[in-house]
Amino acid sequence: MIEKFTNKLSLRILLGLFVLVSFALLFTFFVLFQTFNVYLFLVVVLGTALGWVFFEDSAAKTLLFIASTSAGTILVLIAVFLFLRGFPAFQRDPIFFLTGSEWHVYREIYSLGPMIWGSIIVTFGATIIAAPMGVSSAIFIAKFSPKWLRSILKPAIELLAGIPSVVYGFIGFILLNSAIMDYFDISNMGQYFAPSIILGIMALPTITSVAEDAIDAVPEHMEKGALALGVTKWQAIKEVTLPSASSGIMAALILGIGRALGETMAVTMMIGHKTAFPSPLFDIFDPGETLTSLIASQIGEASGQAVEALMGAGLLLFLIVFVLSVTSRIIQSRLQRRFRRG
Amino acid sequence: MSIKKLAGLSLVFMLVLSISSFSLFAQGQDVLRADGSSTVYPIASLAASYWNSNPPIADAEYWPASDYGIDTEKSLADYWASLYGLETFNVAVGLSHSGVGLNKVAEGKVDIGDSSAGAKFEFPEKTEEELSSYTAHIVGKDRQAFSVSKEVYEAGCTVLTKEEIVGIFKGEITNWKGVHSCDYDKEIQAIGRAVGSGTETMFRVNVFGSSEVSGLNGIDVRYGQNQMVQQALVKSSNGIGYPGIDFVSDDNPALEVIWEDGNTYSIEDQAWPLGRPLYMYTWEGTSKTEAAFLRMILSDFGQSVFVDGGTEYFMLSEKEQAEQLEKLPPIE
Amino acid sequence: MSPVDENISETSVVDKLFVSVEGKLMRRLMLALWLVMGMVFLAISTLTAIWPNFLSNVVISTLGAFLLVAVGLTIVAFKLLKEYQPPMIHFLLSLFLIAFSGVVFLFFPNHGLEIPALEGDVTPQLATISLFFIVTFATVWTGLLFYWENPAHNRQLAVQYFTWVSVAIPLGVLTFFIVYTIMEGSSVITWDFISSASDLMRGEIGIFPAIMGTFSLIIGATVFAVPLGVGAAIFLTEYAKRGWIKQAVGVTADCLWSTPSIVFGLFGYVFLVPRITGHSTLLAGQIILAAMLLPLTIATSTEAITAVPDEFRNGSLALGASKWWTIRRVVLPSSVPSIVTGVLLGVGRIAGETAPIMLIAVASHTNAPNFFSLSPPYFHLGPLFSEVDALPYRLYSIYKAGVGGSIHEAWGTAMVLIALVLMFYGLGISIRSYYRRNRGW
Repeated sequence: MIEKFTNKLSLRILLGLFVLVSFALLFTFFVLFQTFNVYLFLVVVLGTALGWVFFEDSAAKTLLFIASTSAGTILVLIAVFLFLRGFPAFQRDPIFFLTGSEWHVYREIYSLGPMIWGSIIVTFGATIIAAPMGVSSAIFIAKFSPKWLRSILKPAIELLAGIPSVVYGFIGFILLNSAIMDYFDISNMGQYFAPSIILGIMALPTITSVAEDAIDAVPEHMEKGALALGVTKWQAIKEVTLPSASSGIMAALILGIGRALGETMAVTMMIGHKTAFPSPLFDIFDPGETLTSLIASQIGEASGQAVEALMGAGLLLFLIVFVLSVTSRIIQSRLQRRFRRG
Repeated sequence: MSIKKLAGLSLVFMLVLSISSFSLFAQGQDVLRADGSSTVYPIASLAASYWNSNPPIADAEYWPASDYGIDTEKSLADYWASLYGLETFNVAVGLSHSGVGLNKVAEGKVDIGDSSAGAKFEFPEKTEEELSSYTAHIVGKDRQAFSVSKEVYEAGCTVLTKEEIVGIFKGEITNWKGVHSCDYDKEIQAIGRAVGSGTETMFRVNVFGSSEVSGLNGIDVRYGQNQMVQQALVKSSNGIGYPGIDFVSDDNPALEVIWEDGNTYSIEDQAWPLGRPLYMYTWEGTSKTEAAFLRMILSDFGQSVFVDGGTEYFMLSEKEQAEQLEKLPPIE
Repeated sequence: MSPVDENISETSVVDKLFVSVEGKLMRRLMLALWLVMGMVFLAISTLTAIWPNFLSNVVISTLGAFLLVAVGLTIVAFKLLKEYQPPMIHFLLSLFLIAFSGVVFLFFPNHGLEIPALEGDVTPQLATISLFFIVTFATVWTGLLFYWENPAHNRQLAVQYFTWVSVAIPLGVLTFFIVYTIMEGSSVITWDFISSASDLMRGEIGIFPAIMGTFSLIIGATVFAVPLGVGAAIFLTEYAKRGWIKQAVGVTADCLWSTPSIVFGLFGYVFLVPRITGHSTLLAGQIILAAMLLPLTIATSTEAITAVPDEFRNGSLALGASKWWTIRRVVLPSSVPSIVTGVLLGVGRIAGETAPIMLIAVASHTNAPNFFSLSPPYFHLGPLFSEVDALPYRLYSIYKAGVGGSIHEAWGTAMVLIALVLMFYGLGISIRSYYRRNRGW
């Protein structure tokens, strides 16, 4: 018996199980009971250290496996907690919550209609600006620019994505808001129009870099074949490359839309925070509010039902972006499969 | 097992031990936390800045104790803390809204809740009994201005009647031409504050009679803080807003109003109808740490430096000051 | 059209429909319709520009809607217009349209907008939007005509020009933003501004706590995210045998990457804050930023490790090394530069995040986090459990509440923030290009 237990294999498994169970307990306590059990933590760390010293290979593999579940765990936690806190708002009166037109904190009436509409307007505006420019700059970078220029342009576009959104919002508020107000002779500062423009610029790098990857992924021999038939380069791109990359470009557009939809600070700083539908409905020069700016501007001061309603808004946002990114992922993986086969 | 591994193992041991012992005893530093109204913030943050800097008695520019009849050799914070037999501590002031400050102080997340509206106005649904745990300390007085863009003021719109103000914020008057005192053909941009802020609450109470009023459809944009209201007024040529008096400048001047009693008031008048006290609330009495900080603000020194000197707000009268000092626990 | 056209393009039902004689007629009809609409609309907007009381905005918006429909039809028409060569006159007409609407748009902006005689639901902005639409569509239309009118190489030039412009515009905007921020911000940048904290008592403003706060946030985030991300990548590339695991992790990482930053903030607010002290803490901010950095780390590390040639692994395994030893001594060292690049770019991104930390980690006017002291135990974790200031938050709070400085300090803060982000990006990009040039395989 004793020999069996001292057998390295079972000791390894025992230790591993012990540590894993302690880790699971530690995690469960933390999530469910809001306590961080230091003793369990000690057990986990010491057990891991022991495992590392004596059975490095299997300890490494187990740790790596746990690491690979981290992204999924976080995603699930986000979904669960937003759901727990936000679902009551949906439950009360889902149709009114999503389509009603009033957000009145003092009287505790909460509906997201105007904010959903605002998000749609702003995202639509941003997409109109970002989509054509993003795709055509991707074409330029991938196909028309010389190599040296390309090596400058790609990082420069990345940099565009790196400028913090709070800086975009600040510059937009200082320069764009009042400029638009003056030029179009509008009576208010916080219209949908100004953040749309800034969001267009912010969504552009996402579209460009993903679309550029998609265009670049099309095997060169396809285009070369067309060129050999005597067509111009543009004709080859238009008839061969772009159709092949179309699903990738589609994915890029979806990601860009997701980016614009979820962008927070720039919108919050530039929009007028009026929680009502614009009138007439498509007047992009009316002040308004989007889902993200609603959350950002009110969560700090909300209590009670307002928190639930804001969590509901967050949940809605999360779900929309989730669907968008899964869709784009599916499109992309189809594209990859096609070329792998071809 | 190699020496290397042993060394590694012992290192890990030491790390774990140190980290766990620290996380066992790890707490935030010993600080007095305040949070809440952006209107009270200038007073609170200035006071906290003096407190944390703790200038010595030699630094008479910032700690002129003898000017206020205080006889001490101690530094600023040391002196006020010593009144309650305490060691010096730090003060951190957060910034949100009156409602938040009041909620946080009740939840025990902060020690002092700054509010520019009384608790009973912020929480009209709560009973007297529920509100009785709040201990109010009035630290200064504000007057809410009706401030307009410079262009509007220069076009002659310098006096508004109460009906006009109601009309503008209800959306019944949409052009400056609709105001009796001026002929300025421009649409009105009515700038509101975030709901839940004391400024918004007191505006509703003073102008409309209740914080639960509905139909304020004239408000075009809402900003979270006084500063943004001021920014928006300065950057526009058609705006009107109701910031605290600290946020009025030459570029967004304050209006005179003709109130319902028929009198014309200017913001300089004692009887300005939108006056309001500025509160620092504590929860269930006032602790010694809280009292030490509050006593500094309520003293002659605090009133003249933090309220009169540092901001545009108004000091408490001597009677009010005595009343407020009375509420604090006696010094040791 | 080119032979490629015939081969590649798919023939749809619509295509078949329009090949007939009637189809051709229909195409022309649509084109004519668009032309007429365009002309009518142009006339109306001109009249409105000259004579403000001409039309109510209701009519204008109705026309605008018609215009949109017409444009849609036109696009369909052009899509089907495979062999149709429009005459020169169309081209000239469209040029005229552009020039004219441009003139109206640029020189009579206010005339064209104000419709003062109308009351009630008047939104003069609609007229502007409509004008804007005219200009845009006229431009597009001309572009299209130019495109169809000319021989192939001209089209190529046109396209090249167009794509070049669309790269130049965002880069122009980027340059403008940076230059403008430097111009506005450089006047407040002094050594004191960067190296000291604000002192309201003496009326001095400094952003040192915010700089240190941002650094502690991103260092903490990196410490949490990199082991997890790289570990996940190793597991996926070296151990996971089934494709679906890779797919699953890829999808979750993607979703995490595109999750809006404010949602991370909300999550931290309901999950982390009640579990860590109950108020905003540096630790909560680090964890949330780590969650945002994680997907990028996974993606770039996976890419980097996959790029290591299999010969490296096989060589090591053939010498009798274990799998883990091979990973640690062969695979990881060869992929470190790429991983570092990816992490640096990610850090550049999270350094400027405001929305997630706004609710869970920051407060104005806090001291710089100080982990070290001169007396035992020399190192303490207290700052992890209290609030910090951060550069993007400082900028936001100046904008929002005037806390911590005036507008000049805001520009200064923005400049420091941009410089910080540029530093990370520059570092990352230069490591990448250096490494690409000197890669061993």
